[in-house]
Amino acid sequence: MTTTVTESELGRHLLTVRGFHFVLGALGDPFARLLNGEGDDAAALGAEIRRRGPLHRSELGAWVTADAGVAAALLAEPGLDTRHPDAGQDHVRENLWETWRTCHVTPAGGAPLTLPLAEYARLARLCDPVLGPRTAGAWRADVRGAVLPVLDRLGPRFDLVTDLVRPAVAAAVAKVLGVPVTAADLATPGVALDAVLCPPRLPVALELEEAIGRVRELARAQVAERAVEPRDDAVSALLATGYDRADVVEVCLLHLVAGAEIATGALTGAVEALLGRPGQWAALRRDPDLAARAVEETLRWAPPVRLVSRIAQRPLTVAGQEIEADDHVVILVDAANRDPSSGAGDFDLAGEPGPSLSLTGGGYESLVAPPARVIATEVLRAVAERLPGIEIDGPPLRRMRSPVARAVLKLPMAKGR
Amino acid sequence: MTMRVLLTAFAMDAHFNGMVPLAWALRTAGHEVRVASQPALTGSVTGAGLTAVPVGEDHRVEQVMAAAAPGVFALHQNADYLEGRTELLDRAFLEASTTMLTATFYSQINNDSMIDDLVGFARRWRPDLVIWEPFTFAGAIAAHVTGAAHARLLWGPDLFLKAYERFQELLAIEPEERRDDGLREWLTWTLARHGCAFSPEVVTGQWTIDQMPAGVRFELDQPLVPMRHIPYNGPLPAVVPPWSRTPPERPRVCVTQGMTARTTGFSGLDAVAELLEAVAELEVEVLATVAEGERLRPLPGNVRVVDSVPMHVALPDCAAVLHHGGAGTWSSAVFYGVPQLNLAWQWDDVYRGRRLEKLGAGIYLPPGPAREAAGVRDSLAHLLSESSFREGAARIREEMLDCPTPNEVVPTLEDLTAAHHRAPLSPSG
Repeated sequence: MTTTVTESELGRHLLTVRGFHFVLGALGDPFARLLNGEGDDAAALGAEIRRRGPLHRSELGAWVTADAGVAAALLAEPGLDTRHPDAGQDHVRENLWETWRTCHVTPAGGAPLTLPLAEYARLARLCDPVLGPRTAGAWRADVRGAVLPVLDRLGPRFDLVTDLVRPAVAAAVAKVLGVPVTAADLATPGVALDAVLCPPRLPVALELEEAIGRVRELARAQVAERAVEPRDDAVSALLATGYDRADVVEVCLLHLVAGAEIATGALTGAVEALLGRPGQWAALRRDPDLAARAVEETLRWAPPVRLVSRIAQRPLTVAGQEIEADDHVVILVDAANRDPSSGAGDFDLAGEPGPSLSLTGGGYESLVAPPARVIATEVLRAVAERLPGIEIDGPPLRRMRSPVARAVLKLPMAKGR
Repeated sequence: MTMRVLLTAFAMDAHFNGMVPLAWALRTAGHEVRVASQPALTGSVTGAGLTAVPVGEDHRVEQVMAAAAPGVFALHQNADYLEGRTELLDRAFLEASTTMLTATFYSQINNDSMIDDLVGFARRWRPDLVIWEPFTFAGAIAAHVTGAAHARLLWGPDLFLKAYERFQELLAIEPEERRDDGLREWLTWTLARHGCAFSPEVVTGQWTIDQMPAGVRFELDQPLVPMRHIPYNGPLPAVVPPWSRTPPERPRVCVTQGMTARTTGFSGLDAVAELLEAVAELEVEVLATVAEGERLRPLPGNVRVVDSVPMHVALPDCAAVLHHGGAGTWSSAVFYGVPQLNLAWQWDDVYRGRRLEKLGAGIYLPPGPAREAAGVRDSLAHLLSESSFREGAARIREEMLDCPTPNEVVPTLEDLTAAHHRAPLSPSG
């Protein structure tokens, strides 16, 4: 961004994109309705998108797929990336009624969610020895130690999200990274996941930018301190690998913003799915070691990142469709994971795990996935052990305009027996 | 006391015309009057004998509507909305409607440069009263920022506010995290740009001047000043054509689709030539307004085609009028007590058409098979043969005449201005 965008300019842009989604939604476009993020049944819209073909062009101009095979191919397609090959990524000042660009709705409040995929790959290599797929498990005991006090504080009635999941996830990431964040620090930044494709309300967009600025500042301060005085945390370990401080700050920010939101989404989704199927919850109670399997099943059934947004870097032919360079492509991970043609069934801890595309594709979500999985698993295991009798005690309050995370803000619970 | 009165309507004649008689009344009562709009309306304002204040750049709502109109109309083809049963509308509809209209219409016709320039003019000129066309929120903003009293001047039943009030009721019972009101949000950041907080008055006005006859008015929980509609022909020169000086030999039927469709594509009539041929089969004389460049095949001898004719010249001699439902045509026909055959399909046009039918002053034909040429002809024959329609139209005309004229309304506006004005009255007062 060369000059500062005024609040009026940002507000008008967000309003215009929202207008686009409603206008095209009213004409029956299922992808536009999905992006409205309100009122519609996401699973039904995913099925409707699949009925329109393995890859079809939404009225919005984006290519969308809910087909398991095409989704897998697109997530592995090197001709797709997060950014426009030639143009800028910031469309706030464009006249959308001319450009129709609704691909990068906001700069995500400064969260690094649309870095080039090569950059995520580079940062993932940095993380590998400390927070990678093979190494993240080493933090298990630390996570458990941080999470148990949160569970032990709960009264007979509590809110799953605000009293349990968000404080537990915050305590866990704070412990692992060594960055002193609280649940309050991490509540708003997660909106960034949605804000790439769905415009937040202007006050939320402004709050998001501020909240991410605060988290970035916390990370920066901690990285500076650990560079001088290392401790037994991931920031110190990352610095010890010899990487640039700025890279370590960026990695921290990704784990704090995206990692925490993904762990939160996975946990909330797991509790909803398990308690909605009493036999499943009983199975986990009997064998808390099923927690990892339950997290994977939740990632498949109710992915915390449901939509993956890409831009074609060059002309591509996929599923018989000609995608032009610069076209917008969106993969519906949740719908693809439920594609019946790939044998997908209902949420079930028994038997072989179904195929899942969640947290693949090499974007921010792949980078933060390993510790997010560990955190979600350890929290779920602790809940199964310490709170075996919990019951859902009221309807969930879902976040508005949340088609990507489909985040739950509140879910009342009772501890039960 | 001499007031400074600023009237404002976004640049579209159909939305400005309804303000002109009141502007004249205020002027001849001795008040200073200015009419602000985008530059494109300047000719229409000066053509009405009023003083124009061009503000900002021209809006580009036509460009936006070229892309958005199909979706906007698709959503709003909702019978409960079109027929004013707003209590049946749900939150999803109202949220979609409010978001869509704010994004594609309100924030487009009130473009930022127009709003900012209007606020600047109001700061300099210090109006005592701002009267705004009900979608021209720029007027409310300028009044709110400068402390002037302000009122909406309606051209039709207040369907917009009725639906918005329903939306507010539904939002009030939602948890804070689930309230999503695009109109309020847009007005909030726009007012913040001028150092003010949002107030619901910016949506409702401090009071509302309503030109509908009582039977067609929505009663909302808002202060209301009824005012008689006075036909004003718009920017085209109003000239009495020679043929109109002799009375018609057969019942004259006026077929018109207003002027707005010629520039915006909305809303007009379908298949006009077929319609005219069918209507001409009756024992009538047809007076049809059809834009000059619009080629029609040869028509029967009892059809007179003109490019345009002032409605207040033509309607007093007409036995019926067949039209597209626009507010100007509808109101002028009511004013002259002419039974109406209404072919509206959008917005409050539908409500007015159906309401008049219910009140026995006309027939409304919904979109679909009823509008095929033969059906229109038969409905017109019915309208002409039943004297009850003319009696019904006369009753509604009486309701309109019961409303005080713009001249009679002026003292009320003076009192309300004195009561609501926050800034010191202008030095000339």
